[in-house]
Formats: sequence, C-alpha cells, structure tokens
Amino acid sequence: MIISLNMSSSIPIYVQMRNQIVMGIGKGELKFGENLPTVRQLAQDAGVNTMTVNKTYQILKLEGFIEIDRRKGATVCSVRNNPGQFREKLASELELLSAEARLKGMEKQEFLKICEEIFLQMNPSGNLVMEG
Amino acid sequence: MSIVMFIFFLMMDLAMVGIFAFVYSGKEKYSEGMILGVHIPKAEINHEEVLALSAKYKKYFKGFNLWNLIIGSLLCLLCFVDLMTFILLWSLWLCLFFGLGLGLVYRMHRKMYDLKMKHNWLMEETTHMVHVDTVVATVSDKLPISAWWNLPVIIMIFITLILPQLKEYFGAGTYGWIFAASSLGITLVFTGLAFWLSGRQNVVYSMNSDINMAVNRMEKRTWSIFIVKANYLNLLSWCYLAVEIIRNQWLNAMDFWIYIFLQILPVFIVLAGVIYIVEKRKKILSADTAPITVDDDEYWKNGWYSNPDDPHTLVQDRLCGTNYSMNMAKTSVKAISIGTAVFVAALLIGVFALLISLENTNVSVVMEGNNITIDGAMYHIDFTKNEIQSVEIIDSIPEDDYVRTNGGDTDK
Repeated sequence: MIISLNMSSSIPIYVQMRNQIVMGIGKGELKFGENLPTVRQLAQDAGVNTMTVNKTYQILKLEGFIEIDRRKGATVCSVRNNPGQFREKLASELELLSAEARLKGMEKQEFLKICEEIFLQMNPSGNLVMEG
Repeated sequence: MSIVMFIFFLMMDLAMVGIFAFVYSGKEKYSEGMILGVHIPKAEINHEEVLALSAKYKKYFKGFNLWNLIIGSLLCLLCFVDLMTFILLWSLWLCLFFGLGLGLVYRMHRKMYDLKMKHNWLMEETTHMVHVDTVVATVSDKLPISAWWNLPVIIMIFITLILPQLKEYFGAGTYGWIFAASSLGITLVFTGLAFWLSGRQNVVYSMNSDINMAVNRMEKRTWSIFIVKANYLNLLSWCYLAVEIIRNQWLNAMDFWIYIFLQILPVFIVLAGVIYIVEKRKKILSADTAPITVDDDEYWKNGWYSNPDDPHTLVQDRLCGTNYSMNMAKTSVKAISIGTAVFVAALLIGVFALLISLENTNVSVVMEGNNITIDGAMYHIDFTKNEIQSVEIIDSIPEDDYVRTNGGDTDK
C-alpha cells in the first residue's frame, strides 16, 4: 500500500502514519500476516526520524492492529471483532462529525449514504476473531 | 608518445561530450510529469511559451554539444605541437565545458520554473506530500544483491599486502605502494557504496506497487551488480601488478598500461549501467497508469536541491535520474561542497603552477672548487670533477632514446 504523508499538516506525522496503516488494513491493502517495513527503512523512505515510526508502531501494537516480533519484525494482526469496546469510541467521533454535518446543512440520508459508501470500501482480509 | 596522448584524450573528449549529451538531452519532452525538470500540468504542456522554451533548449543544447565536440577534438591536435600548452588549454576547456553546460541546463530549468510561477501552474496539494510504498520498503534490503559480495575483495587485497615479496618491493624505495593503496582505497569506496545502496531511500513513482517495485529493484540490483563487477576488476588489476612484482621485483611500462586499462574498464561498466537504467526505467514508467506527482519544484528552482525540512543528505537528482544531488540546505553539505570546491581549485592552481614552473625552468650549473652542482626544475645533482669521464662541445643532441622512468632524476 502507499502511505501518503502531508508534511505541512497540523496532524502529527505519527498520527497520519497510524491512520493510513489502519485504513490500509481496513481496505484490505495490508493483509493479515503481512510484514510491515522495518522502523529504519520506513523512516528512511518517509524522511522522518526513527522515533516517529517507532511511536506509530507502538500505538498500532497497543491498539491490536499489529504485532511486533524480534525476528519477524512488525506484522499485521488478524482483525479483532470487538464492537462493544469500540462502539463508545465510534459514537464519540461520530457525534462531532454529525454535528458538523448538520451545521453545514447536510441531510440525514446524504450523511448515511456517505457513511455506507465509505464503510463498503472496507474489506479487511484475513480471519475475523470474535471477542466478548 | 604524442599519438598515444592524442588517441587517449580524443576518446576521453568524445566520451565526455557523448555522456553529457545523453544524460541531459530530451529534457524538453514531457516525462514523469515534467518538462526541463519542472512539473507542468498536463493541460499546459502545449502552451506556446512552454513549447518555445522547450525548442530553445533543444536548439541551444544541440549546438553546445556540437561545438564542444569540435573544439574538444581539435584541441587534441595540440598533442603533436606542445604537450604543456595542450594540458593547460584542455583543462581550461574541460572546466568551461562542464561549467557552461550545467549553466545552460540550470538556466533553462529556472526559466521554465519562472514560467510556471508566472502562470500559477502550482499543484499545491502535492507540494508537501511524501509517499512510501510499504511493499517496496518491506523488501528493500533484498532488492540489491548482498553488499557482502564485496568483502572478499578487501580480504584478498589485504592478503597480498602481507606477502614477503611485496613487502620487500615496497621497502626498496619504489612507488609500488601507491598502486596498492589506490586499489585498496577504490575497493573501500566501492564497498561503502554497496552498503549505502542497500539501505538507500526507495522512490515512489506510482500508486501501483508493481511499478515501484520494478523500478526500485531494477535500479538497486543493476547498481549493486555493477559495483561488484567493478570491484572485482579492481582486484584483478591489483593482482596482476602483485604477480608481476613477485615474478620480477620490478614493474615495466607495459605493466602500468595493463593496470590502467583494467582500472578504466569499471568506468565503462558503470556507464553501461547508467544507460541500461535510464532506458529500462523509461520503459517501465511508460506503462504506468497511476503516476504520483509531487510538486517539490520550489526546492529545485536553482537546479540543485535545497529543502531544509528534508533530513536526507542525498536525493535522486531531478534532471539526471541515475545521479544523486546533495541537499544544499544542510550545513554539513554546504561545508563539504565549499571544501571540495576549494580543494579542487587549489589542486588545479597547484598543478598549473608546477607545470608552468617546469616549462620555464632555468638550469643552473655552479662550480665551487672541486664540486659541481646542477639544479633544474625539481632535480638536483652534486658531483666532483674526478667523476667527469669526458667533456665535449656538440652542436645538437645526438639521436638517442632519452625516455626514462622517473623523469630527470639522475640518481648518479
């Protein structure tokens, strides 16, 4: 997958990198078990500090999207189906987006249609692991 | 001797002008989203000012190379007239050729950039974007052949250096150690280059990972193979000298020529690599349907790269894709560039001063009592009257072979 980083954006690089990798996994561009570049190589190719990439990988590991093995490096984890824990985070982020949509005059149907279209773009590969 | 010099310099001039023309020609054509190294929106590539500037570049560049081909070739004829004058004029021509040539390319590049700014053909949304292809980055270290293939060359050269016959030869006051040192130096440079290449930044050309993989693999693999080949040729050239030293404890002119020939071969190997990479990349990228454009022209507006936000020291060159440019915004790069320029200027001035002093040298003969001293150029000799076997006044130098190794050093 192609990671695109905006160096002049107010969003920190490690957050952009984290978001892009999560979207890549969500869209199936990064598959379950697929290796990610080493911290050094990703930093070299992106022209950023290795600490930045390290921070991204640590966040992704904490969130359960990747696992880091001393020998194999960083690999994409199986997608964990845990709607209960995630629902709260989703609701809070959608609240802000819904508020902005209403303030910009967007209709409910249009808003839901966009959500549906984007949701359908997601096609994570690999096993879905059911949890609680 | 003159004919050898003539052929050598003529071939070198033809090669230099030819390579310069090959590398910088065709830049007026729209390729990888650019004309003359400047990103131009596809809708504007037939704009009359763009076409006029492109045509101007083509005309000037062609004329420049043609004139230099003629001047460079004619200059070589001076080998038959006066070698010193030739060396001085040839060096001057060489500086002017590269200075004016690059000046022409950079000037036209800057004019195209100014044209772009005038019409506001900026692609601002892409200006500060950086792309990484995770597929390529993951296997990056496997794209070139292993840099460790260069290690046997270093070991072999070190082994030859501890051979007693070579130690004896080096200890006899000969200059053979210079060849050993240069062979070792060259192999260290090649090996360092190979290791740097394996960790080098990958370039993202397309949204299609297959294209990125194909170009990066082709470039890294070709360079790494060619570096190994050049390194082993370097070893071969040194081994040849080492064997000759062991056999004869002496090196004759033919040995030096063979050594020089084997050392020059890698240059042609590298040139063949450059041509292969340029053509192959052109072919792969022509099949790309989803190219990525990053409008970073503002960092290249002077012809060289200067981006204070980019931590890379070396980046792929804008006008010559197989070459690398240093990031001039970095203090260390500025220091290296200034240091190199001063060193080269000092070296040139020093060599010129030496050549001129040799050309205009006066030979002084001083007789004090029984001792006679002769000084000329960098050579000096003392002897006594008793050592003179005969003295004779002659009108002209007799026919003889006055060529000798180590110049005028009499060594009594």
